[in-house]
Amino acid sequence: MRYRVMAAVFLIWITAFCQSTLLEYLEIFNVRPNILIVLMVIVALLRSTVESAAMGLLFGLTMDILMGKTLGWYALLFFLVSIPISMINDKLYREKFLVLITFAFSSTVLIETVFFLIIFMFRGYSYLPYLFGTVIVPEAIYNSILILPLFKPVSKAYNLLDTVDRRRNRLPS
Amino acid sequence: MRRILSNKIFILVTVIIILLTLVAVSHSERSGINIIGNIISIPAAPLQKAFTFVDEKISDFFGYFEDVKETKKANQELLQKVNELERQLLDLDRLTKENKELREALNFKDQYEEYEFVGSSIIAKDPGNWFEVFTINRGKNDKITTDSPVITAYGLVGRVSKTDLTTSRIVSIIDIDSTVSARLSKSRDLIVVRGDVELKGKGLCRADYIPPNTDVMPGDTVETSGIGGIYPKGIIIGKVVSVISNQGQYDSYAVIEPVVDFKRLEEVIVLKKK
Repeated sequence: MRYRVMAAVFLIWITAFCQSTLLEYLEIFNVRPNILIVLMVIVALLRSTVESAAMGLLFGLTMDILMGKTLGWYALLFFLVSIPISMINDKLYREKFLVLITFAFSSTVLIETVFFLIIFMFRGYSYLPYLFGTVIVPEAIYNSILILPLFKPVSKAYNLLDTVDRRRNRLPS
Repeated sequence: MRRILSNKIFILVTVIIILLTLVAVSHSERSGINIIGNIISIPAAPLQKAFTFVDEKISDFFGYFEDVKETKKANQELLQKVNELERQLLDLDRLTKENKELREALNFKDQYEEYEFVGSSIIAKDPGNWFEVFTINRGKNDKITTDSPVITAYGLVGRVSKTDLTTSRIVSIIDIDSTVSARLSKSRDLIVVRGDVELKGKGLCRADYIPPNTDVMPGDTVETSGIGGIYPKGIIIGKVVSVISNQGQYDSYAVIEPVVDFKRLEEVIVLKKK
């Protein structure tokens, strides 16, 4: 359990660092991928509902903190999106590219569209069609590509943690 | 089973309520709840600083060879400019003396005399695609406070929106949450400069509430008006790029190109109240 918590903290911390520094260099047409959404989807595809929801909430909260604006919106959206994915993950061929791409794309579109509606529409902005085409869809495509190289290493890391846990608790592998 | 299910729903609803409460409580930039930002910012700051340092060194290394060629060319041009500037310097010297005498005569206050200049480096940029905020390596430990103006040698950058112990978040003037009371340098008319979702991607912002029949032209300079209590008067914001005229009385707006290049911004100055 202790290793699991340490691994989760490390994953969130390194993701936060990458999102606020390295990913600036991957910007295309002023749009950068959102590695936090990508990792939330990966965790939701791999883990139980409780673990996915907790990690989703923490990834979202990290995004809120990094942005330095109102805390909680991304946390809520990540939390709510990770639950349904994790509930059906055992019925999916998780390693299929199409499954990964579909979930990364739809999760990004859902999270960013609702975030836009919450943040911008209340202020009287009406740019949704414009921003859907110039920000949300490009980011979703970007995330769909990014999930492909990231899925396997994260999956392997979780398998390793499971093995360590089983050995420590002397459970059969 | 039913009990477990109801428990799960209870937990779900509780988490949602807690998060919505967090949204409500943290909405104000001065809210105490924002202290939880330290959880991420304190451990991340050293790594972000190290990354910025390495990034600068790599850029310097690759830029060196190109710089040699450009330096030779620039040297020729600079020698010509030196002569011209020496002449201007004499004029400036005379004008400075005159200005000082007149200020003393009129009992003018220096706009910056109540501020201390704190140099800072940008260590992280906005993580998402919606806002134009960035993080600097100065925080509460350096006595930086919210709403402190942030500038460069060229002009206005923005203001401090949140402070953690070792870092601060800066909202730039092209961010959608930024509103600056400004003045057209030529006509002295008051306008409002604010960030715009469509323009921010191009590094531009807009000026609203341009009074009817105002003489505003592309190329006009826009500066802070000093109204509002955040920004001191007279800091250059940018230049008017285009004016979009509409029929309504206050419907016209101007597109402003800030003097600060936000894409290449690395160092800033925070104006800290003495």
